[in-house]
Amino acid sequence: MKKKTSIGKTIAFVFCLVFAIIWLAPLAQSLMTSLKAEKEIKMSGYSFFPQTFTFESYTDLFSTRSDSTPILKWFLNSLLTSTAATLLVLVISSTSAYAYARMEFKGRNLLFGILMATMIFPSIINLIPLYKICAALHMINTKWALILPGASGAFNIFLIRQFMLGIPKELDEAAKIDGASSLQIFTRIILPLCAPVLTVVAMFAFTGSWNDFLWPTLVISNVDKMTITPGMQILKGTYDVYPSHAMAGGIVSVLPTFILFLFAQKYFIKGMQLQSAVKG
Amino acid sequence: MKQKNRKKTNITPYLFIAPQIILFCIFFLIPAGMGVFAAFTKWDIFSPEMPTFVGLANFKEILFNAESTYYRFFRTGFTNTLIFVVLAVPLCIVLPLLMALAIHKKPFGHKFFQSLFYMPTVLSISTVILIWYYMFNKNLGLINNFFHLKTNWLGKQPTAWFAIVLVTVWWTIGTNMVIYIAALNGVSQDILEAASVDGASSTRKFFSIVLPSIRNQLSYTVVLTTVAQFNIYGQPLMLTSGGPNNSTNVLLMVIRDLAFPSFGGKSISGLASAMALMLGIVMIAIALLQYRFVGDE
Amino acid sequence: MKKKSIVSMLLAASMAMSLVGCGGSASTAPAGDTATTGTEGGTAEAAPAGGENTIEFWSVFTGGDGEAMQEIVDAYNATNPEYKVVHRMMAQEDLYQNLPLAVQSGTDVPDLAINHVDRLQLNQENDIYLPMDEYIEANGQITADKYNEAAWAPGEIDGKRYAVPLDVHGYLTYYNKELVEKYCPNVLDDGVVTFDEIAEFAPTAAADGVYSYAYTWGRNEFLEWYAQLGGKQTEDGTEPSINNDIAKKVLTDWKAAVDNGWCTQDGDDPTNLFGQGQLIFLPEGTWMIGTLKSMDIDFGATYAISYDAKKPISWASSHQFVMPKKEQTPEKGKAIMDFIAFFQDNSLPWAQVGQCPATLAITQNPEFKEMPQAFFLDDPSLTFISDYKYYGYLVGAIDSFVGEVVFGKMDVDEALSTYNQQISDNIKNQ
Repeated sequence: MKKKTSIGKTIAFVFCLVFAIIWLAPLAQSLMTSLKAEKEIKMSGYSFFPQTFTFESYTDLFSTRSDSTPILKWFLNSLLTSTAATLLVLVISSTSAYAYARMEFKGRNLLFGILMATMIFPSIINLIPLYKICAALHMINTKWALILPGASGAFNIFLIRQFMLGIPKELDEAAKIDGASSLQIFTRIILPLCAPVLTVVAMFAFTGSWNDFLWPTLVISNVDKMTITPGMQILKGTYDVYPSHAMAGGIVSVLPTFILFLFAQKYFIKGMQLQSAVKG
Repeated sequence: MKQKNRKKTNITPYLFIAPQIILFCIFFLIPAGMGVFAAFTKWDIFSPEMPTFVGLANFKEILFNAESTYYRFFRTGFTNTLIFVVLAVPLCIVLPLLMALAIHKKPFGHKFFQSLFYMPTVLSISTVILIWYYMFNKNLGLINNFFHLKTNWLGKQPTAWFAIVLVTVWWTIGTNMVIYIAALNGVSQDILEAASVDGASSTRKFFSIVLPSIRNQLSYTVVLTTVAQFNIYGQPLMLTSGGPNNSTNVLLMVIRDLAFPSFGGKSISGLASAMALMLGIVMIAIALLQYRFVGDE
Repeated sequence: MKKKSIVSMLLAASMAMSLVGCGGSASTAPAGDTATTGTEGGTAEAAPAGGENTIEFWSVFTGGDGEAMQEIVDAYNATNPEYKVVHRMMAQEDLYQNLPLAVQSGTDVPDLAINHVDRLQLNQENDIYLPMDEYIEANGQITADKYNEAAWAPGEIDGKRYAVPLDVHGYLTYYNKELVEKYCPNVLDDGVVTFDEIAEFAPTAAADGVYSYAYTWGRNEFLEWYAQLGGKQTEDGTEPSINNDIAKKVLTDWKAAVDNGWCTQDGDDPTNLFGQGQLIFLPEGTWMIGTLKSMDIDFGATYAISYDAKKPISWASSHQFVMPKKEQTPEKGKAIMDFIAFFQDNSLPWAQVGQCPATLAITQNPEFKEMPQAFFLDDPSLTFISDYKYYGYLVGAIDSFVGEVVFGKMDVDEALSTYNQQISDNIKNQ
C-alpha cells in the first residue's frame, strides 16, 4: 500500500516536472534575451545564455530611446486606470449587492434577474456601439473609456451578494434598533465583514483591467496615453529590430500582476474556487 | 410603525443601486441594443451620419452571397474560430485535470508546481505573446535550436495552430486546474478507501467515483472555457497575423478589421455587427446546450 | 488577523492610488502626460488648439523622426516669426483617426498637418483639406521648380494644390560589400543589380548557404517590381487592376527564387541574416539606415533590384504638408507658407534620420551628398509614388497574399482574382 502511493507520487512528480520545464522555458528565454546586447543577437546567432550580461535594455527603457514605445508612461497609465477601475468596481458592486441582498424594494427580483441574465450576453455584440457611445461622450483617448465601461459587470454583484446573504441578519437588525441608517449599517457592519470577497473582486478587477487588450486598442490611439497591455503589441512590432529591448519591456510589464500574484495567490485561487463553487 | 418606516426609506435602495444601473444602461444595455440593431444597417461609425436600415441585406451578404468578399471573410473567420475551439477546449479541460490529479497526490514541490502552473493566468495576452513569439522564431528561437529543427512554426500549418493552442493552454489552464484541485479535495475519502478495500483499480476509482463527484465543477469549466475560447483574438493576431493563407484569421479579427479599418477606408460596421450577432447567437446557443446537457445528467 | 491586515493594506493602497488616478484624470492633465508633447486634439477637454498667433502643426512622427522634426521647428521658431509653430507629434493611426473627427466637429482643428501622399486623394474627396493656392500665391516662395518632381505632382488634385511635399522616403537595396566582392564583384558597376545577374551568381551563393536577396516588406517589393514591368494599380482611377499577367510574372519569378534558395525563406529575419553575413542584397526602407549603421557591417545602398538595368524603379512614398479645412485668415495662411518654405534650406536634420527631403536645394548640400540615401533623389523618374485613391485597400489586399503566394501557400491565380475582388468590394462599400 505504502509502496503504491510512493510510486504514484513519483509519477506525479515527473509529470509536474515535465510541465514545469515547459512552463518556465519561455520565461527563462525572455529573461536571458533581455540581458543580451542587441548587437550580440544580431551578429552571433542563437545562444541561450548571453555571452556578456548587460542591463542596457533595461536602462534604455528609462531613456529617450523609448520615445515611440514609452514603457514607463504606459506603466503609470496602467497603474492609474487599473486602480481607479478597481475602486469603482468595489464601490458600485458592493452598494448594489447590498441593496439586492438586504433591502426590500419594488422590482428587486426583476432587476436582479435581468442583471443575471445579461451575463450570458456575448460582449462582442456591443463592442462596436460601445465605441460609438464613448466617442459621443468624448471619452476616446481618455482614461474614462478604460474605467467606466467595465465597471458595471453583473458578476461581481452576484458574487458579493451571495457572500452578504451568508452574513446573519441579526447584525443589521440590532444596529437598526440602535438607530443606524442603511448607509451606516452598510459601511460599518456589512462592508468590513465582506473583506474576503471584496479582496477577491478587487484582485480580479485589477488584473482584468490591467490585462484588457482589445478594448484599449480601440479607444486609445495616442501612444502616450496607452496602457501597457496594448503597448506590448507595439513593442512586439520592434522585435525584428530590438529583440532584447522588447523582452526587457515584457519582463517589466509582467511585474505588477506577478508581484500581486506572489503575495496574494491564495486569494486568486480561493477566488477562482469560490466562483466555481457558487456557479457550479 | 414598521409600515411607515418602510415607506419612508423606499428611495434608499434605489440610491444604492443607481450608480450601477446608470453605468449598466449607458455602457451595456444601450450598446447591446444598438449592436443588435446595427446588424440590420449600413453604418460607418466614424461618420456623424446615422445608420441606414437595410433589412436582412447584411445577413444575405455574409451567409449566401458566395461571390462576395465578406461572405469569404465570414466563412473563413467563423470556420477558423470553430477549429480553434475544437482544438483548444478538450486540452484546456483534460490537461488541467491531469495536473490537478498529479498535484493532489502531493508530490515533492506540489505547492510550487501549483503556483507555477497558475501564474500565467495573471499575465496579459500581449505579454504572453511577447514571451512566446520568440520561442517560435525560426533562427533564434529556443524550440528550433533545442531540437535542431528549421521549422517555420508560425508560417505553416498545422504548426501555426499548434503554436496558438500551446500558448493558449499555457496561458489559461491554471484557472481550471485550481478549480479541479479544490474539487478533488472535496471528494469523499471514505468512499475511495472503501473502494480500495473492494479491490477497485485506480482507473476504475477515477471514472466511477472521482469524476462523478466533481461533475459540477467540470460542467462549469466546460461551459466557461468554451465560451471564453470563442472569443479567440489576441493569440492569432499577434502570433500569426491570421496566416498562413488566412487559416488562423479568426472571426474577431475579421469583425475588428471591418469596423475599425486600420488603413484608410470607411468603417463597415453594419456587416461587422451582423457577423458579431451571428457569433453571439452561436455562443449563447452552445452555452445553453451545454447547461441543458449537463443538467440532464 | 493576518488575512485581515493584507486585505486592509490592499484596499488602502488601491484607494490611495485611485485618488491620484481620479484626481489626475479629472483635472486637465493626468500625471503621466504632463511630461509629453501631447496636448492632443480630438478630445473635448484637450487644451484649445493654440492661441491667435501660433500655427498648430500635427505630425505623424515619433521617436527619432519626431526629434528631428522638432529640431527644425525649434530652428524656425528661433527666427522670431510672427506666428510660432506648435508641433504635436502623434502616431500615424492617431492622426488619421483624429483629423477627420476634428474637421467634422470644427473644434481643435490644426492649421497644418503631415499626411502620407497616398492619403491625399481620398481625404480631398472627403473634404478634409483646404486648397493652398491662394496662400502659396500670396507668399511667393513655394514653386514647383524648387521641389522633387515625383513628390510635387500628387499634391495637385483637380487643378488645385492641396499639398506641398516634405520628403521622399523609399525602398533601397542595401548590399554587403564583402559578399558582393566575393560573389558578384562587377555587378554593381552600373549601380543596379538585375534579376538576370542574380540568376548567374545566386546558385553559387546558395551553395554556401548565402541568400542573394530577401523577402522583407512584401507589398513594397511587389509594387516596385510590378511597376518596373509596366503594371498599373488601376486603369480608370477607381477599380483595381492587379489581376493580370504582369503581377503573375512578378509573383511566380519570386516564388521560383525562394524555391531555389536564392531569396530568403518563410519566417527568416532578413536584417539578422544581413548582419550575420548570410544575405548579399537587402531591400529595405531608407529609414533602416540608422539600424544598419549600428551593426558593424560594411554596407552600401543602391537602386531597387530590377528587371531592367536601365529602369530600376523603386517604391517610394512621401510625407506632405496639408492644411486641414477650417476658417483661415490670409495672414496666417501666408505665415504657414513661410514655415513650409523654411524647409527648402533647412531640412538637413530631416536627412540625418534617413529621409530624403523633397526640396531640390538639399541635393546641392555637400553633407547630404555623402549620405547613403542621397542617390535616391538623383532621378525622380525612378521613384515610383502611388497616388491611387484606394491605395489603402490595395496594400491591405497585397499584404494578405504576397507572402502566401511567394512561400507557396496560395495559388497565384486564385490569389490575384480573390484579392482584386476584395479591393473592388471594399470600394463598393465606401
